[in-house]
Amino acid sequence: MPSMGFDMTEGKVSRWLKNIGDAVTRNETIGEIETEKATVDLTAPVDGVFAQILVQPGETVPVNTPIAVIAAQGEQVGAPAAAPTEKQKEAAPPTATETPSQELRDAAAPKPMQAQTAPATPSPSPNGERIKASPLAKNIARENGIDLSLLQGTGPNGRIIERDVKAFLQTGAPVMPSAPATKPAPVTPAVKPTPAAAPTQLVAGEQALSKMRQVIARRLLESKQNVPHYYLTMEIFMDEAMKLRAQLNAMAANDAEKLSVNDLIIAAVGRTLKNFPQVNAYFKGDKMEMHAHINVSVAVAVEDGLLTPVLHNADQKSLKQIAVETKDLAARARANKMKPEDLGPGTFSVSNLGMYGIDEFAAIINPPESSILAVGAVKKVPVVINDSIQVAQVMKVTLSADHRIVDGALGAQFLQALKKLLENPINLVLS
Amino acid sequence: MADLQITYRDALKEAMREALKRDNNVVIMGEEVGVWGGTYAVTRGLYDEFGGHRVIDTPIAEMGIVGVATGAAMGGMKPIAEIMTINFALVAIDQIVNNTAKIHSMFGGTMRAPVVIRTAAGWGQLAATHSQSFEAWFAHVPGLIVVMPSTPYDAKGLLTTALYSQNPVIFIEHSRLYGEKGAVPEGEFRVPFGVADVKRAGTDLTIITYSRMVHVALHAADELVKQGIEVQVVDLRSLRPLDWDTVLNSVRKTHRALVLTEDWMTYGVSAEIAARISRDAFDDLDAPVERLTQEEVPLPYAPNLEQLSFPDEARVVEKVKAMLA
Repeated sequence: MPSMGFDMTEGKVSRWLKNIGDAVTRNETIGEIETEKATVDLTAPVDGVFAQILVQPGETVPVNTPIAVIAAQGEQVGAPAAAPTEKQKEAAPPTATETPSQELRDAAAPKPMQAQTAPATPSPSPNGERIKASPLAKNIARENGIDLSLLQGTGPNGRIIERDVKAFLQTGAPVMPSAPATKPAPVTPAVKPTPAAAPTQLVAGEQALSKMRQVIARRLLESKQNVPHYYLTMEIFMDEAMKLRAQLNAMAANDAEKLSVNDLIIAAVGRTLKNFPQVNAYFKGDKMEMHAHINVSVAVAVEDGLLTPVLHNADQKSLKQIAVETKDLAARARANKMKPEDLGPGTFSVSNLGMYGIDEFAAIINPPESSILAVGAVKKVPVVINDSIQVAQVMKVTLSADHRIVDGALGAQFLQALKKLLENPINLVLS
Repeated sequence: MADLQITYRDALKEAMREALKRDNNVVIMGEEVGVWGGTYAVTRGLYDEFGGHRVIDTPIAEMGIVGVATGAAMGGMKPIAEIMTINFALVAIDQIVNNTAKIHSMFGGTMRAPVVIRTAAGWGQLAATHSQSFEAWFAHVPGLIVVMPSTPYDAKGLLTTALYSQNPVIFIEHSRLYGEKGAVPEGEFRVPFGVADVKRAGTDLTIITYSRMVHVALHAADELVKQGIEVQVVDLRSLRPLDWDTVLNSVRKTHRALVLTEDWMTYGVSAEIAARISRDAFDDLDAPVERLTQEEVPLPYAPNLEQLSFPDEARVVEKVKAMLA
């Protein structure tokens, strides 16, 4: 299972495109891998014969687990080359010149423990305290989708035990201890539509979170909780940039080469970042990590979620290249057909809601990046120029930055430079 | 063949008599096992029946008894070494742990020391140095098999298995069980090592125990059933190997476990059992694993204090009710 990104720990084989015995050539697509973020093509690392499938479609395995065998022409493939799992190691009999009799072996080597079921998710109560519940009670609660914080434990020390969960399952109401409950009454029901009636009628429907949404939830919460964000907003006059865009688009050979406003911004961001290595960096605990490349993550809305495919080396690409590649990137993201390199690593994000008429907004940093630029709509507004009121095309951008490595003044200087470049856009063509 | 109602003592004697008849390599050796018939009269009559070359009186020298028996076993004999009580096994513990238990491994599998060391746990105004429960000390050691039967049936069946075993066996009897009667088949039969016995089925709580405490648990269970509580009593029978499947399956059914032992709690047999249950049946537990053991004191001589030092029926009942409260 290849790693498709620094934060990828496991992946699912969605399907194999080759049959056993098929010849494969290097870089040929042989299957599809589903990561937490996207489905990506799996390409053959070498020429050879597709000899063995070790991981079936639908199975999820950790990164670096062998998933298939490509043999050289004519090579005989034996047993799977999979490394022994921990369990297999544990179960392996001790080596000895002569094994002792069964009864002694039983005495010496207790049977490996039963496969453990996944631990119950610790459910913090609404006020954040740890909920005391027996492992069995947690187990039953998990199987039935019951939120333990709704229950009142009647076991020792207020522990929630089996009878409490079973009573809740039967009646939909907590077992009431003799003393009145001190907990505030819960407002959100947490029971799945089970045979037991839900305690209230607030819920109209439920939907399990997709893997992507779980990732979005986890990563953005992590970011907002752990990264000290601050926000800088700046107006950028876009008349010149819009003029340039119109000129270039008039010359475009085809639709793919046509520039969007966002392409201009990506180009400007890439070129500006060259002079701001500290913005193009990750905070890494006791150090900051500056990057050799400027890879711009482009936020793309997709069905039921958001992806941030990466445009590599944005500073070095021409406007035309950027126009072509970002279109391609967005199309692949929407089609759930991202390539491994599309997944990153990004070094700076751009999120644009201008097409929805949003004036300005503040975005959440996409970790481990240090900054994200939120782009609003380009609008004609009255502005004061040389003491007279004129009409100008103005766009507001908001930089969200990680204060641990990007201080306010640095962020402001970055925006100044970006503004200067977009207001003198000929430099986008020249650089 | 028909079952006989015989005592635990006679059940043991029957197993040895059958072995002495069957196999000339079987000898019994120990202090006063011959002419006197054994301190607890377990070997009474065997000296007369088989003679002094098969039932051998030894000097009072436990280290020597175990050493000679281990050497004889290595040489192909099948000795039964009787250590009068487990308290005296401490004198021989170097032989047992550093020789008997390790012969097979340290000789690269070429030698065996299939000695059966019979000894008695128990108490009854024998005072602090003669009333101890050291099963955990031996069950701790890889290379030894440790069994502790609770009934005449198990006593005979386990001792027969020990007399066929190729490994050293620490066979721990209980002085207060020798007079216990029960049904035992005539003739040879075996109870395998590492197979626990559910002595009573129940649904509300599992008591895991062995030896004399099985009887305490069964009496408590009789009392508890009157109060609507059904406990399951698992008799381990052998401590090493231990039948984890039966223990864990029982706990997975009842969701509560009480380990009841006559040894001390700290680092005792109950510690190992509680640890394993907590790990391997974690998701099935509805309450912490509890233990009821001997009080952690050198056993008093005074009978009232002595009684207070051990779990009895009333205390088991009380504990079980507390666990189900």
